[in-house]
Amino acid sequence: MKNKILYFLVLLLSFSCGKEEVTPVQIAKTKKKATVSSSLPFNHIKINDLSAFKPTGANWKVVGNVFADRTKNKTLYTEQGTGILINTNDQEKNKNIFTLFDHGDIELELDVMMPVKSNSGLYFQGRYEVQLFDSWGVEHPKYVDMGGIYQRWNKDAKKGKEGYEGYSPRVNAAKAPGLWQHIKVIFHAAKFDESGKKTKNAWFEEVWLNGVLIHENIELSGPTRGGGSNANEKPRGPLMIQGDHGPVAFKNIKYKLYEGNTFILSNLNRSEYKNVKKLPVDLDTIAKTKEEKVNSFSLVDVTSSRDRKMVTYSGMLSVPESGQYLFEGHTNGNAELYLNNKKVLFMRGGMDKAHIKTIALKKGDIPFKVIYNQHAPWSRGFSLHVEGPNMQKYSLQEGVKKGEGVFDPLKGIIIEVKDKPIMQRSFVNHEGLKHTHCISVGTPQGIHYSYNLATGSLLKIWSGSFLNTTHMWLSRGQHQLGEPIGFSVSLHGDLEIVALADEHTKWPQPLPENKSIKQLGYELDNSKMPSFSYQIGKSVITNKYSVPKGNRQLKKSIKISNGKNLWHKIADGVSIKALPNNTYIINNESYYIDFSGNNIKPIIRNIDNKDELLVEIPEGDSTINYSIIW
Amino acid sequence: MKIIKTIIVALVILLTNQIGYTQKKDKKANQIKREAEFYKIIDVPIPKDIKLEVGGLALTDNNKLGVSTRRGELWLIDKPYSQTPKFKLFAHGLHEALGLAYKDNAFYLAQRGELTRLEDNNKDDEADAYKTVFSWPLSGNYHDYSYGPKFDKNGDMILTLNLSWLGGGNSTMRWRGWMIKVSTDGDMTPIATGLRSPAGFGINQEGDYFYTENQGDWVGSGRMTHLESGSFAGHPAGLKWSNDPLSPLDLKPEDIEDNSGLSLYEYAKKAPALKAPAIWFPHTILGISTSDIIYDTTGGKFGPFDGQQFVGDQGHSKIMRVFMEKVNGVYQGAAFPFVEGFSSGVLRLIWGSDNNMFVGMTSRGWASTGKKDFGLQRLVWTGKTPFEIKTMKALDDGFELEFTKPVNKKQAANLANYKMATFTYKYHKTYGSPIEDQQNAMVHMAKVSDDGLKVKLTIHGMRLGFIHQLEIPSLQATTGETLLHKKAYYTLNEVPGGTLKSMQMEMKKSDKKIEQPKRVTTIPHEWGEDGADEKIVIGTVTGLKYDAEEITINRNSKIELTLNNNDDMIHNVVVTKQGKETPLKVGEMALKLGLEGPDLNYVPFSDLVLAHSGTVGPEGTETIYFTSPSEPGEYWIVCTFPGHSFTMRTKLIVK
Repeated sequence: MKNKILYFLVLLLSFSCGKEEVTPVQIAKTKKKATVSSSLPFNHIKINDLSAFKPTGANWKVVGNVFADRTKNKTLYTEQGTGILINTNDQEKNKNIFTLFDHGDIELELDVMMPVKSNSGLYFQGRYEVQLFDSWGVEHPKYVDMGGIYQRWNKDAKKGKEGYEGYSPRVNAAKAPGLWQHIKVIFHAAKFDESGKKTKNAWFEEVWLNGVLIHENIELSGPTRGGGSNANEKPRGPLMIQGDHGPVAFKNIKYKLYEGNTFILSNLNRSEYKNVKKLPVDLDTIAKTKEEKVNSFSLVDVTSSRDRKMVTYSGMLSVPESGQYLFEGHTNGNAELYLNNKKVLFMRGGMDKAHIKTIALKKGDIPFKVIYNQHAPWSRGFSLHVEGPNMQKYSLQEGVKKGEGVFDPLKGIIIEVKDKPIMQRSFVNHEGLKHTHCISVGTPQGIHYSYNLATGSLLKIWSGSFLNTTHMWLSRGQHQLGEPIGFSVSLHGDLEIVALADEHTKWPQPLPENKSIKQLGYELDNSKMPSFSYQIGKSVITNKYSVPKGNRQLKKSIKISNGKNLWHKIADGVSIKALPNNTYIINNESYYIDFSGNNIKPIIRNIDNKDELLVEIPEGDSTINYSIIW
Repeated sequence: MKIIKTIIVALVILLTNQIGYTQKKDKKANQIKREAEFYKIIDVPIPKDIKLEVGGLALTDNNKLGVSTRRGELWLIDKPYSQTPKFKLFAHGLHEALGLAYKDNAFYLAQRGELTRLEDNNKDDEADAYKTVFSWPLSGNYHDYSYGPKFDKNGDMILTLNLSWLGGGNSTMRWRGWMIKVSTDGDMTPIATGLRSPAGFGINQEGDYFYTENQGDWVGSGRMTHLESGSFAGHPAGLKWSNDPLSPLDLKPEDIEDNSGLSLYEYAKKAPALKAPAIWFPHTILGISTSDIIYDTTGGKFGPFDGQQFVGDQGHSKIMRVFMEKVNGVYQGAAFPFVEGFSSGVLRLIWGSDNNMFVGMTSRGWASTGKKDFGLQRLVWTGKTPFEIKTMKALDDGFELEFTKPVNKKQAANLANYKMATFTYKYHKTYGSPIEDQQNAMVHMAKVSDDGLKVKLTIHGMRLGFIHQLEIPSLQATTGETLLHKKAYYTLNEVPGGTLKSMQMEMKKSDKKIEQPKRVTTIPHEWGEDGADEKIVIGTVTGLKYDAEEITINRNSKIELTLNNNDDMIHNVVVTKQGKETPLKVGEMALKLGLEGPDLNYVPFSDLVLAHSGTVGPEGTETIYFTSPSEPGEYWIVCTFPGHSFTMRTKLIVK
């Protein structure tokens, strides 16, 4: 600690003595704690070959890398290797592809890449289609757009009236062609009675595109158009991917199958005690205030009251099949979960803290016990979820609604942009850290960004609605946060420009107390768009952002005066790849940097298992322009 | 016989209480009405779509009113003196701008993380440059409010930085808990520390700095302290940075004892950097959260108080008046009630060009007696002079009072017309303080000047370091009117000549153990082994609320009620009778307890009260026992800590 302060003073002195360069100071970035997954592992479709699929046409191939030509329709370039499934159809080769496995209820996640104007679809059970389409730039998405649930088709209806139903995504969360887009779907198959009569329609519980929930609880009266030979509704069917409408690429395809398994609790006893200070506690030493036989397990009555008490449930839990089960608990008081008379979870520390344990259970009845201690009226709250083989994650506790207590950015105090750009300063959360000197700018073109005035760098970019300020303007605003509405792309957020000894020098972290740069503020141009300035050493750096007409992108223009030994970090990511025309693709966040407007060339370097896209800034005065496209 | 007597006594108490209540309520309304005869509160109409949560006020060179807001907007109001003001959005997107100044064609304001200059270079009444003059680090804690600036006589800007709140005041980042000075070029000089929640400050004609403080940890009551370079105002958190080369003082946080048992005045003798307040504003009597300070620079155009200070109060929606003098080089003086009844929480005060006052208000997250979320009002002198104690000056053996109008000399010479008590507060880490060591002083002689404007009181029992409460209940002016405000609170740090000559007398101490039969904190014997039938627990949440809207209990049941105070303020629970107005009535009665309030846990002796707790500090708890009423209906649980009863209540349904 002392060393740090000393270092600091040295730096301070070097500033005040008027030396030109900022000494790069390395401060170890705090390692992020490994987080325990709150989900059981998925089944991954290994794309070493096509063995996970039924035999199909030659249009389906396995490749190692794929890029779209952003200037040509329906064009993909590939590199040899494995891991990516692509379709490159033509007049002759244009078969669909089917998984070997059949599914009923399924949770599916995958990454998909759409070349310019291409079209494909994910057909659940081969019957119900989530549309895949290059919908970049579409303002009001329809069912035919990326993530849409396709129309049903009645060929006997009047011409032009054949299509019906069909569900549009709530917002257009589609990324630019050639970028990897993430899709997550929870699908439930239609259910039938013994005679084969349908008792329940198929439904999409959730469809997510690029982190945005675009459909919720969509029920389908029958197969969508193009269900083909699978149009006859059945409990099961293979997943089909459309291969006749244009090239498309997939990776990281993973899924879980569900059979509607749940635990059955029986012989339930509920006991109440006076609360204790904290758990664990020997229950035998405490007098019961109440004991009763009950039919269901729920602590909602306790957590919705201010009573201080301790409640236990004990009974038998029937495990439907042997396998690995994941338990996830949260509590604002203290709680314990016992299975087979062994403690499985000890919970405390607030509802934000997840306690997760995966254990093997054998089919059959096992003893079950939960102890919940509400030691203070404000320390209340409890949830317990479980997932297992053929068992979708659900609340073991009755009376708990899905998604309860989760912040919805679409609700609360919202700033909308009208005819002029809007700025709003606030704290901004970025990759788990709260930044305090930030400004978010919303433009009438619908492209918005959050910028860190203390590092000179972008934190987030997004499109659609602007900013949710509930966590700043409701009551005292304990969090002081401005939060993007809709899906955002997260940029590196580190210092934007620093002096490096050479191109191998590690990118430094900001100094404590924002001391490495002097903020100068911002000025507005005639269209009320701000340009931000700061000073490092003798260099003044001005950042200006603009939104070119057309598709989703943000143009960044940096003006640097008196530059010397300065480098700019454009991006970092798991992998960065140079494309033609001084353009780069940054993964996993998946966005493009179009650097073509400059006569200097960035370098890609790998440091600490991370790719970085850096550019050396010419000495003296210079300007760098590039676009971030997503 | 005995029973009958008890019933009669009870009935008499009941009647007196109810009559008393009505009288008091009328009295308050009357008081506001009386004040309005001299100082009128006038709304500045605000367009419906503007959330004018005022953080700062400043007048431009061309007589427009700039208003910065907690939502980060800066409005320019043309014709703010009229009923048809024109609002123009000058700037937006700022981070909770809690101050505003105007100089050399630019606005200056503090955002949470920086001091900003706003320029309008193309003269379209919209800022086109938001320039960072000086930026400071932030921890991300919501309590890191930053206030200012105000320009000092050298053209430098003064700002104050609130402490963070982490279960107590904490200086999480450099210069939190400090007053700092920043030049227009951005050079920063830390001036003084020990600040906790310094929402208001001012600079007098001589260039001396004063700031107002809010009750809290280390702060027994609201107060105003004179700050010089190197002063320490009392909260040790900011001393964390006294090792910084720029720090003007060396005192360390660990140099201050958590619980010395002393008053701040006494402790200051041990720690010379510690500055005893120039003015105490007794908590709940003269406000609960002092805010802005302005000096009457109108030269008599705002009434008879030229050169005096006006001090806002956010929680009580009112303005106090302060007369200050310098005795032996030390500032001290008297605080008086001035005007109450503003529409929201009073945060900012400035003078309009018409020599009347603009009052800027907000109450979001910090409730106020004025019920609106925000507001902008003008306080306008009607031209009539109120009958007031104009000044109160310390003598070595008494006080000299000056009145705004000649007094009835006969009455003024009558010693029975004066009451005086002295008291102080504890200086300790705990949140707030009880009234400490209250004693009565005696007015020994009252000598009236020939012109009838001055009275010299000779007092027995004055004490240095104590607040001297003077009350003159029925003195009349020659016009026949009584004083508009009958009380004054003088903070005596020094006396002229340096030696206190007031005769000391043995005085009865305040009897703090007042029996309150409706506060039962142990299980009644007669409940036997079974104890309570029902146990209820009620917590508190920020924003002056309990954590329950309503609670249902059975009639005729033995109830154990626990108050868990999770808030950062003091609260109690008072179970009251039925009636929509009851909580308010009881709250009003509690407010009127005055200095007695703390000893009585702010609970009036009233039949409207069924049971109650004592006052419970932050993170504290108290359990009380009572039998629920036999008549079903809607009763109330209310916090009667002054100012809280408006919002802090829970419906108690008896089945």
